[in-house]
Amino acid sequence: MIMGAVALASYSWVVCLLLKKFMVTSWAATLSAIVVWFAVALGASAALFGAP
Amino acid sequence: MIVRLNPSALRDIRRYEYVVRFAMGGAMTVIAGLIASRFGPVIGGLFLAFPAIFPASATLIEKHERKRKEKAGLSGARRGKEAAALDAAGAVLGSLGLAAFAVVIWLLTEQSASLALVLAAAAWVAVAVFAWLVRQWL
Repeated sequence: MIMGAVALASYSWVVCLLLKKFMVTSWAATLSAIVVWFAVALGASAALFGAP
Repeated sequence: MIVRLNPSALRDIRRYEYVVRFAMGGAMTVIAGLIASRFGPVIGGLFLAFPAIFPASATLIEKHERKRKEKAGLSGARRGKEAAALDAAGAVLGSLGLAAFAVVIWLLTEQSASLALVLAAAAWVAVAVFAWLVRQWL
């Protein structure tokens, strides 16, 4: 859950950036940034706890 | 900035918008439970912080703000995106609080689950409010 929360913070920051700087729609920003959540969550978990 | 509660804003939200949020949140909780039973608690715990409700919330916030501006005869596209971006900035602060919540649960849950839950909730509030104050100050 700790790694998930860090991933959620990264995800939210990317969504904020996409909406503010690149002016994409909310749907496009929130759905495309899901990739960031998976990358951070699974990457950090694999690095700390090993591959699932 | 003073944080205020505006109950009249609740009237702008339609019933289906609540249903979408509750359904997404509930579905993700069930999915996290299923993932935990299949792959173990580490991976299951990850998905407790999956952004299940956020896409629907951000989209609805953008829509509401855009409509409010359009009612006043203005193009609300930019305002809607800015409002959703602010919501996302708030989610970053809330996520930091969530990480603190998870750390406290991880450290204390073996001693006393109920005490861990109370202290973890307090840690969430403390970290999220502190992060918000730091953001205000910067």
